Amino acid sequence: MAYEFSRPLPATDPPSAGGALPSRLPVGPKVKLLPVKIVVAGGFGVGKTTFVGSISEITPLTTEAAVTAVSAGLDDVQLVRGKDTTTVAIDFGRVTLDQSLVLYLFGAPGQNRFLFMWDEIVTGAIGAVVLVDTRRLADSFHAVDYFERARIPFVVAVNCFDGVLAHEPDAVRRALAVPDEVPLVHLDAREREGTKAALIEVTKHALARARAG
Amino acid sequence: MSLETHASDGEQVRGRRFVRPYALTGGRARSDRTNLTLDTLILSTASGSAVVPELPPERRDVIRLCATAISVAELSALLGVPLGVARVLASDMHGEGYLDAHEPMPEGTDLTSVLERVLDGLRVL
Repeated sequence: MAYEFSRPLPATDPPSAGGALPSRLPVGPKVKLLPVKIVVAGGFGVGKTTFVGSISEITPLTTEAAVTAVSAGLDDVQLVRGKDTTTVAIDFGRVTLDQSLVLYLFGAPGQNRFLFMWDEIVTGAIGAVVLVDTRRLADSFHAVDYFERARIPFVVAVNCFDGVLAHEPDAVRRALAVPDEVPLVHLDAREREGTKAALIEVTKHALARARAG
Repeated sequence: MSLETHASDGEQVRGRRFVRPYALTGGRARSDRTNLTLDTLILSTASGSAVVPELPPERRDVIRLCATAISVAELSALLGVPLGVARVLASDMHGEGYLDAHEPMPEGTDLTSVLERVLDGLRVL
């Protein structure tokens, strides 16, 4: 497979399509920039990229990570003889929060077979949002399990498609077996305000946990 | 390192180079130097900008894309190469002094104060 390596880049100007941070981010060797990340998880097709795109200052980008057969063999990937690697696409977006703080939102690959990829995506995350489609609650079980075991602060965000709340919050909480201290929010992943509120909830949750030690 | 160029109607397509991605890293999936994480912010240094004319094309692209700070993941997406390739390129060029790297949660970072800044930043969005 050959990649188109380079689209024409401007000789002097920074790239405009998705590449440049807003001008309020200072450029210079003395400024210490700090990236932080929040992971967005949930079943395949639950709206992770929509959620990221609703608040990202760039159109969500995709990076391809290689997965080796050794890792893949631990899960349910049916390995084809002679094919020892596969790739998984990770969608992500960016929100500049202040002059030196940049928040990245990484979508964790939805399928169970990519769980082993999560360690790289999740390491160092300040928190996670588990997006839930109440019509397919079971798709979110593995995400909830993962973050509980990894002790990553997370919130459950019920994506209300077309504004319809199909289940009572308590029913969702019981079905997912999440403890009371885990915040549960409702949102429409297409709408920025709901996405913003979910990110604020997970940060508050992480902060409460950090203060508690 | 030689780049494969593809011709279109007998003419070379200007500004487009096609190359097997891991050829850019000499076949390596890991850098010999520190491996940067996918969310590390990278930014061209003055010495990186100064040597641009002498660099191979893909490294020139890295310097130009990193004129403003972007993450290793963004570099991968904008170059159109797998994450592993972008990571090796960026890590090598960081080791050579052509890129500054700003890593997430460096040693000694106070998590509580970072989370407070994130919360303040989100609230004023």
